[in-house]
Amino acid sequence: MTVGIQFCGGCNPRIDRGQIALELQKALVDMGFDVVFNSPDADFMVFLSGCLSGCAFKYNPKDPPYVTVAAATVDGAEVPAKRIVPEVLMKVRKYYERLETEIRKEDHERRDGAETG
Amino acid sequence: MPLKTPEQYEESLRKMNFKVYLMGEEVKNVVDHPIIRPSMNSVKMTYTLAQDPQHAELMTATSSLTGKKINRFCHLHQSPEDLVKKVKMQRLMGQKTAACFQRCVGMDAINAMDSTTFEMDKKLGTEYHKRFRSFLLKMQEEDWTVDGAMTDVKGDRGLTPGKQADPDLFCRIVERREDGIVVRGCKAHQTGAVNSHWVLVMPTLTMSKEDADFALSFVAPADAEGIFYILGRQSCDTRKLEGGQFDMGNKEFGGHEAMMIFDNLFVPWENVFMCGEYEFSGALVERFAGYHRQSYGGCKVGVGDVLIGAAALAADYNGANKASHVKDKLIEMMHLNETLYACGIACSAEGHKTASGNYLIDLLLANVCKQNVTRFPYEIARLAEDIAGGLMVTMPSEKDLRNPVTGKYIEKYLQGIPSVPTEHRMRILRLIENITLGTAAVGYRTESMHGAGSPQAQRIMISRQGNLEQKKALAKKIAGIPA
Repeated sequence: MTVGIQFCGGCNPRIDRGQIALELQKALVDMGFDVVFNSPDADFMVFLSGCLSGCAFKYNPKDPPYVTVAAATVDGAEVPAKRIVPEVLMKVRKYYERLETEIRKEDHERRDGAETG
Repeated sequence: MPLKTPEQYEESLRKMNFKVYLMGEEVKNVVDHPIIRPSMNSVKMTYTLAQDPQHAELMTATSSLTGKKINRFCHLHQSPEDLVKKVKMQRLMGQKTAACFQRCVGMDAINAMDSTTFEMDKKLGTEYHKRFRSFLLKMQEEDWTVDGAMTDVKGDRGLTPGKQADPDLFCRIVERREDGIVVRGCKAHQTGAVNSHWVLVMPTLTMSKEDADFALSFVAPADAEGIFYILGRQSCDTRKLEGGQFDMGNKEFGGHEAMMIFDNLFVPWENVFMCGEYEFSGALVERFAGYHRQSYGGCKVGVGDVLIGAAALAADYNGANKASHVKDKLIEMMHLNETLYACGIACSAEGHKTASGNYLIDLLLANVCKQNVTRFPYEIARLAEDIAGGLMVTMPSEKDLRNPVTGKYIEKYLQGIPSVPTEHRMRILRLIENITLGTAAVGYRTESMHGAGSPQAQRIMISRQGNLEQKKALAKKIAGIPA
């Protein structure tokens, strides 16, 4: 799975976007994901904005799945700055697990269908 | 090559053949001259940040002409969103340089030229818009820095251009030839002139029929035969020649202004965008001024961010950060700074589409923005000086700090809180000095007053755009007075 990290322009950052992106990139690669920056060609997007204006998402809207970071909030909920990376990783992991479950379920259904047919 | 790297930008300047005078001497190496170099670094930052994924959202845009990714400084605004991003980019640039980064004038000029030349062609059957778009394509492709040149030296302010004792006091067409025109005159206060690849010249005010020869717009390579520059002095500029680390306050970045003199400059027709069409001079001036008044709601705010931060650090280093009046002054500085930003954002959000397709700011709000800029940076600077204390202008030089005899006394007696080295305290005071009354004060103070038009120019526009009759009608209705 490819995870995209989309930055805002960074005119009013309340968080260290660069550091957060680096930590996310490292952890996501360790988890086996590919990471791309400022590209919509991804299976899951992380919109990383420095302030609550949320320009990363505002100027590059995309259908889910995604997670938004805007200042010290993740998907609109306030979190301590040091919890931003773990919260985002948790959301990516949850999405991936859901995806895996769905794929597994579809495989089973296909197999069951083939057996009954 | 729609996005130049910062190295390519610097290299491209080295290949140019500028004719520049500074302090009575011709400058042979413009790029490395210690007084000019910091201003080049500021423009270079517009190229650096465009390469940085963390700032690409603001620093780059998709060209409406080619669909390619280009530097936002070369972009025709395609929406109110683009206008907002422009202001945010300028704030970012101000934060990164704490100086005038010079490239806005060209961006504002191309946006004013685009709609004006389009309307000229439509009404007059000329081909200025086609010529302009052809230049703009090259500008975007080559990622040129273009210097917008508007302000004539103007001579006797009580006289129209044609009635001046010397007609060259306003840039003018001195000869129309089959292959182009010959131009003479001088543009004053030319920000970033010798860091630019091209100059885009515009008339300085609304011209009448009698002054049609002064209704003139064209582009020329900044190093063309027939153009030369005399650089302006800045307060404390020779500190850059001393070779230290911090007495100049901002070692890395700065700005510059120059007299740009056209000494019988030949301009081929393909580079001429207005040549006597006086009835469009007013629209061009008004639009350029409007865009540039919007710009100040971004760039000055970014520099203000640095100054507020420096004042807060000075308070920390002095051990005065807990004093309620100091806290209150910092709050006031932030309030004033964010008010300027709010004006910049507001005139952008209320922008509208022009006939040529690009977007123009709300002119009333842009003029309100700039009118505030003529005042608030002065108050922010006053408060910064208040918090910094008198040492900002009385402390010894860096050389005295480095001197083995005097250095230890400076270390001992100019210390603030013990956890902060004396040198750090001196550095932050020098930065405040630089922005409030040193080289950067040119941009932060006096340019805030007169750049993009002096205060009275905005008041005239506010009077024109303020819709006073509607306000009277509202009052009559509420008061029960028949219309």
